[in-house]
Amino acid sequence: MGSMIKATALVTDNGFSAIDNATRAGLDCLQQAGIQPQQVGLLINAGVYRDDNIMEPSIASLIQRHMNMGLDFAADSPNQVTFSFDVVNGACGFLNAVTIADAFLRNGSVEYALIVCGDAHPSKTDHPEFPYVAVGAAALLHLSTAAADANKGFGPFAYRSNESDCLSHISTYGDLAQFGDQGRAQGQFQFSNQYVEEFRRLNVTLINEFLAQHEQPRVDFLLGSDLEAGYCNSVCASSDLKRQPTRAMELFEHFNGDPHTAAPIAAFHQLQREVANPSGLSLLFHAVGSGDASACALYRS
Amino acid sequence: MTMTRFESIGVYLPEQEVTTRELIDSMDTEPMFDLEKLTGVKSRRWRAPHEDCHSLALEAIERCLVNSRYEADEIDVIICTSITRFKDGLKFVLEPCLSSYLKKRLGMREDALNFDITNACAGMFTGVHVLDQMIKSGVVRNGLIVSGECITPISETALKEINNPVDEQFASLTVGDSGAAVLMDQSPSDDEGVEFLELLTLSQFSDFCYGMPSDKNPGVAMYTKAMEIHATVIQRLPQTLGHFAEKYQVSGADFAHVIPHQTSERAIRSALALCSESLGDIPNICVSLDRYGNTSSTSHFVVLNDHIQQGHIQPGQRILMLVLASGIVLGVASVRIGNLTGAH
Repeated sequence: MGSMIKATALVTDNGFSAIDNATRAGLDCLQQAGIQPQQVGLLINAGVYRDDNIMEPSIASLIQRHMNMGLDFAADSPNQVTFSFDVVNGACGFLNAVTIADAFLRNGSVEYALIVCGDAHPSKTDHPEFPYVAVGAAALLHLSTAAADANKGFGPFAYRSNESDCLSHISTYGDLAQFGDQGRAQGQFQFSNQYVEEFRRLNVTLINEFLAQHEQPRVDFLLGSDLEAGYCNSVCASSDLKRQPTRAMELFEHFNGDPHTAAPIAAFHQLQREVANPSGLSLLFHAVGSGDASACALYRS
Repeated sequence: MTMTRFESIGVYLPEQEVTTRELIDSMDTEPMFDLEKLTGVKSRRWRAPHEDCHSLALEAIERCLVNSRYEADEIDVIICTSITRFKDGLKFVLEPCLSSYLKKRLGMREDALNFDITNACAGMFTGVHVLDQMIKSGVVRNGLIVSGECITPISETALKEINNPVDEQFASLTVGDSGAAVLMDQSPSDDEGVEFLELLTLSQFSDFCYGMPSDKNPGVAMYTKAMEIHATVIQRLPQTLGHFAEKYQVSGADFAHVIPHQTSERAIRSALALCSESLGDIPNICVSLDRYGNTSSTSHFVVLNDHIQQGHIQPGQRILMLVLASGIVLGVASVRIGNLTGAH
């Protein structure tokens, strides 16, 4: 029994504020699930890029406020509180956040955990140098106690980061000395020429290790990072997933770009639109990005 | 459910000391108040030109591993929790995350997890909470939480920009640089461990303190609405503590020490005096901010290490840790301390 996705939401037409996009996705997600903000015990933001390059408070606490969630103590229910923070690990942030939320849920520490993702340029504009598409995404997780759900949900997870001499094939930063008084609205984005190839190699290595370690589980769909047109398909074709009829969920062409930290949720959201009844499907969530790091997790719906 | 514990800690403080007097003397606009008297901060440590978040974190980890029975390749997860993400001067890094660099430098296993957590001054305690949950759920056996907090760039901006005797940047003059690391694992006995730990975010007050690039100079600034925090958030501490005291059936007399977040000595003492109604007798209040200032996300571990070194805190003692951070994050932890700095 692992954490289950109760609802997801995706926002694609809401402008270029990462906070606003995640807020709207979070609210849409709770509305779909029929859950009140006060029922969410844990809110994690896994987006990397921060409006105005805010370093504190957590972006999650600002999203929490915009969602009217856990604003203050409730006199009649002192145990109903929300705790929020940001998890940062490039494209792997969402799956790291799921690992964390899964621990809180399994321990019975919270009833619902909401993970929000999505990135936008710190200037909150459609900046030509920003390498990702600005979307907001949210996934509400909970632990089902229903007997029928005994074998459903997230798990197992796997993670690997590269030991090559190159620290990271993506490097993004802000040099405040260079930015002058414009530090809130700027960022620098560097991608090595071979980053897609290197990421694919790491991505495939992790998936192959994962499949071998877990006796080649059935995988109906591969959901997550899609770095360029056809990337996710190429991961299926060049990994041991080629031995089974796994279908890759194409995102890059659909969004005309890479939704970065939001990719796993965006792919799951897309799956729900394409498959009338996803119950019983075996899904492999995956992510790969800077660090260089790759994560994956099986999910049985 | 088994308890987790602090298996070992390590703290690094840069050598250079900068006094509050030196800072005030270099300002064009002096504060209306005596900053040293009001806050209790006499001095703080200042990073050397070659030091950044990575190097402060690594120094702390090296000290932690000397005190630990674990080798780097036995660690299952590393969580980096600083507010600041500076590398090579004023370059703040978003990708790759800080922990990926540390993981590689330490020679940890490829399959060990790493991620960063950002949660203002509650960063390290958020890491403790997350790791406590991950060890209890069985996803990892142990882990390392670290923060290399290169926070004095906000002081440099404040020195340039303060032009008002009640400026929102005055709190930026109380901070100091540091690195802190704590290794956690499952406690082998009931004699040491994290007995309870709760954190919550009262988001209505999330805009009371912002850290972000300055819009006047190259650099980073922190803007704190100190009066508003005092008027609203501090008033909620007794309620928070009272709730936890009732929930866990504890009172102040059950603890040998309390380690609060190191904002200002006067504010700490007045806030804890307010709490005596709900908590009863207040245990010995540990402060180190006179010498190290507010080291932000590392503060509890800098104080813990300092008071262990001085012999004030002894293995076996029970400590109440109080978290207060932008967000606004409030938190309480009850920790029974083992032998954290002796070789295992």
